[in-house]
Amino acid sequence: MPALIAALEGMLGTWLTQFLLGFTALAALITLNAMFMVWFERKVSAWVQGRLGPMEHGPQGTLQTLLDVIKLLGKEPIIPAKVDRTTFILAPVVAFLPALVLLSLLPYSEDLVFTNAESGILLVFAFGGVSLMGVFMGGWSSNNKYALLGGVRAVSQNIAYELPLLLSTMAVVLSAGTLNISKIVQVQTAGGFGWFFMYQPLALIIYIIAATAETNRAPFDIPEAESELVAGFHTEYPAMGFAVFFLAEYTYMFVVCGVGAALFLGGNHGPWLPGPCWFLIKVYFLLFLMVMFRWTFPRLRFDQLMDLAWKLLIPLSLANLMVTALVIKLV
Amino acid sequence: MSGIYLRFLPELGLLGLALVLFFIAVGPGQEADEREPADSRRKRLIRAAIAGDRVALVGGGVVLILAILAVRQAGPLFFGAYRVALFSQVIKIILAAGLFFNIWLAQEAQSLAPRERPELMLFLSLSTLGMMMLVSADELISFYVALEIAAYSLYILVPLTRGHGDHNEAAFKYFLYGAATSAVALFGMSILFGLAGSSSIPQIATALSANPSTLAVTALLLTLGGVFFKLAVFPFHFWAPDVYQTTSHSVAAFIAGTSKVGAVAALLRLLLMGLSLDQLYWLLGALALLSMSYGNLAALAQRDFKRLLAYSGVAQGGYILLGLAALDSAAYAAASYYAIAYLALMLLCFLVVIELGRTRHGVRADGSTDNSLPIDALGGLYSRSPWLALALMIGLLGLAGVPPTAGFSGKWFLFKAILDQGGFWWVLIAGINNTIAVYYYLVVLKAAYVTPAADGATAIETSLWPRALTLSVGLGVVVLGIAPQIIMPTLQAAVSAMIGS
Amino acid sequence: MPELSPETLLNAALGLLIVMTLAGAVLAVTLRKVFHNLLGFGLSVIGGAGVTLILGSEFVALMQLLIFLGGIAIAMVFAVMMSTPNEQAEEPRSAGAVIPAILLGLGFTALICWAMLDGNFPQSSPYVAEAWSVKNIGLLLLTDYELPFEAISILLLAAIIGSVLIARRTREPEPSEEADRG
Repeated sequence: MPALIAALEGMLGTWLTQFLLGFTALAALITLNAMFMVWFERKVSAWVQGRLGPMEHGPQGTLQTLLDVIKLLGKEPIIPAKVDRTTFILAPVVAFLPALVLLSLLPYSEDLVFTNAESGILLVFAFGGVSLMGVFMGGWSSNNKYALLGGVRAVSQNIAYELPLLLSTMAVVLSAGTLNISKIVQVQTAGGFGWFFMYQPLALIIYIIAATAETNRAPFDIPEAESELVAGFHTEYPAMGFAVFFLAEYTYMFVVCGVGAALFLGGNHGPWLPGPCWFLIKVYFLLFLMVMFRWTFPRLRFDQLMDLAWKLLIPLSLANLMVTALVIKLV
Repeated sequence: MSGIYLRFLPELGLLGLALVLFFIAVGPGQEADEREPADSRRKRLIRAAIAGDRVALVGGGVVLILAILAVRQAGPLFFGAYRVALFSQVIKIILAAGLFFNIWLAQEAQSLAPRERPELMLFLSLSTLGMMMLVSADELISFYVALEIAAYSLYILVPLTRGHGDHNEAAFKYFLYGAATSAVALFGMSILFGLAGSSSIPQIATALSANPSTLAVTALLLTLGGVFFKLAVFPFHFWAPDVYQTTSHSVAAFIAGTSKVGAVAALLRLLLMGLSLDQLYWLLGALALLSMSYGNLAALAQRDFKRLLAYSGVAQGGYILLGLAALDSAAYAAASYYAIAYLALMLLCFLVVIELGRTRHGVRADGSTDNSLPIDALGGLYSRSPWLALALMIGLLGLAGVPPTAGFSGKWFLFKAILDQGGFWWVLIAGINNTIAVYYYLVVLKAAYVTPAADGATAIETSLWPRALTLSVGLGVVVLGIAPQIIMPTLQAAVSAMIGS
Repeated sequence: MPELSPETLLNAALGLLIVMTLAGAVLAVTLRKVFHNLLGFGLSVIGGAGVTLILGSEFVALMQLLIFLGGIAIAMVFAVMMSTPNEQAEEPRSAGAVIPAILLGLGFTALICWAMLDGNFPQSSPYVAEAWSVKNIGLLLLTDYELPFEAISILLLAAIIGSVLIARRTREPEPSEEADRG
């Protein structure tokens, strides 16, 4: 408590201004990122499939998403008759709410850090659990069998992949000796140490796979597998409800890639360009990888998905963690 | 260094035994293979079950020897979270003996599927491990975790009986009561921690005696509630009759005997370490009187032998609690003596239950399991099997407190210690209770000795195992009853050593 | 702008979190659907984690969120599988069961509150940030609390084996139920 008070005292003078500024910046980031990602994803998929993708509105169809947003805003928000009303309305909110907190945890540059939490990494994963609740609430309250199945799948998949995700980051945490994301970045930038993916290549691979699964992205998109479950947990959500779920998904992709970039790729560290640019470049490089996964890998069956997590990734990441601990102890 | 391992020897032995049993339980061949003919699979499972039985028996014996070897050890372990002393070591010997005899009784247990017998042995040893840790834990969290290890194993064992039936309901009831009382105990512990600012029990004791308050008494009572549940004293007993009646006989025997000794020892140890306040005198005493009166009156109405044993257990728990309520070293020693006697007597009673259970079909018309044992089924036991009738007689007379059994001398020590503390009215009520109890024990004995056997009841072939058990435990009960000085001085020394420390 | 002192702000947050915890607890026991109960419990857990955070233990608060929310999500899946389907109306509670439960709960609460008034809690030691650091918790787990730390793994192992064992019984019935009955 006294530590918190001291912290508050230090910033209370400019507290409100800072809060409002940060809030606005992050809200803008969420929207812009989602709009860019939708366009980006369409373009990449078109490129993979030898098509052109959206071309009509704006140069290279860049205004397409903006128009999509306007269309979604104009749609009637329908609440189906037999849904569990309160939960149905709350679900997208619960799924989206942690996104803002999570974005504020990323280290955009040395100076541009919204929240410098001592256990930053844990904070990211803890709040990820809150959004999982939102997804399952949506699936259950829709009163639709496809939606419910999607929700159940989301839970079992998220629980399974949370373990390798955490364990792979823990290897980095052990090497850096701190849970603070900014400090982990500092360790990498400090005199010639190098980025962590050089020391922890296995952890990076596990992290990317698990992160893809955590965000319910193809090839791990069975919670919303359209060929089996219509649209999974958000089947019944029209207009803005659907949009909010979508926004949350793209924000989480940004967050996991941001954490990945900070942990493994040196965060804002890089020559010539300013820090935030490097950070965004790295994040979008990882996001590009995730988009490529979606268009180049076939979707996993449910049992294959579980096998991959429990029988391969978890033992591997545990072994990686043990070896890391041993090396740190010996060196 | 070696001394440290010696101090932990019985627990290490039990852990090793549990590990071996675990590998038998999951060993090769336990998984189903569809191509294999059912008959050969069945044979293989039975072989594994018998191997598990024998390994457990040998292992139980080894643990007993280890516990005896470690009796002279003393000192702290694990950074002060664990304390080995004469009292804990004596209790560990008794627990190990209880486990050994329970495994002995459970050899080729018929009310369990062969596939699940290695697991029965595994969880019996794990539960005993929990109780052993319970009597040495010097720190609240360790105490709680040990309590839970002992309890969880039993939650799993209770529904383990053939087929489907009432045991699921009983198991669920047991689990819910257990979870609720353990939550209450945890709440009490959190208050104790807040009052003392430490989770070490000796430090809490110092803080409480320096600064007694109503809150301290409440917290202490809540904490003890978790143990009362295992002891099944009123009003924590609701699970007991159902669990005794519907679970398999071997598990019921363990819950009735060894598990209760563990609970008594844990309670005693908490009190001995100074976690006691004068207000507890009245609270524990009231609980004890309520428990014995309720248990005895309810037992009068029972038609099922196992239910009767459950209610009699509630009453016996009351006697022991009365000894604890006296808050005096002589009464503590008497209570531990009585707990030991109770364990032996329960073993004898459940020997009869298990052997009779082998002869009963155990399946109702609708295919559900029937693990009950009506008192009528004991009819003509004397003519059917004199050995079992003898075991039953020693057991029940001991419970009724008739000389020359250990049950008599145990009650004698208890009542005398309480009288010395000026608890005349308590002893009077306990005495009246005991008289009521004699009635229902005699009803059972009458069924066994006077009532003729039902039509078609054949003689019960008892093998060497139960005979040897009857002889050894029965002899032990009588010898202990005639010559309590064999163990009383040790118990007294153990108790006073705890108080002194 | 009125002057906001940090203490007021923190106390307000603490009060809000406590209200949230209690509200979640009330929802968890009063609502009729298991799913809603679990959501209430989730709210309560989040509130509790917030209180822990304000009291200065960031790590414990986050672990509480991480572990409990995952656990609640799993419990929800099981609740959905085992409770009555959504479209079926729940049976109303019977007053005979509810009233004694309320009385008992209130009585217990009153007893505890009354006893709390009498309790004299010692002054807590001054707050030291290092005392709650991850490093310190890790050290304590390997020294003073090593025994419970290890014993919990035995407990968890027993619970896992037990649940597998019980689940197996309903899954594959044992071979030839009657044949080997002695």
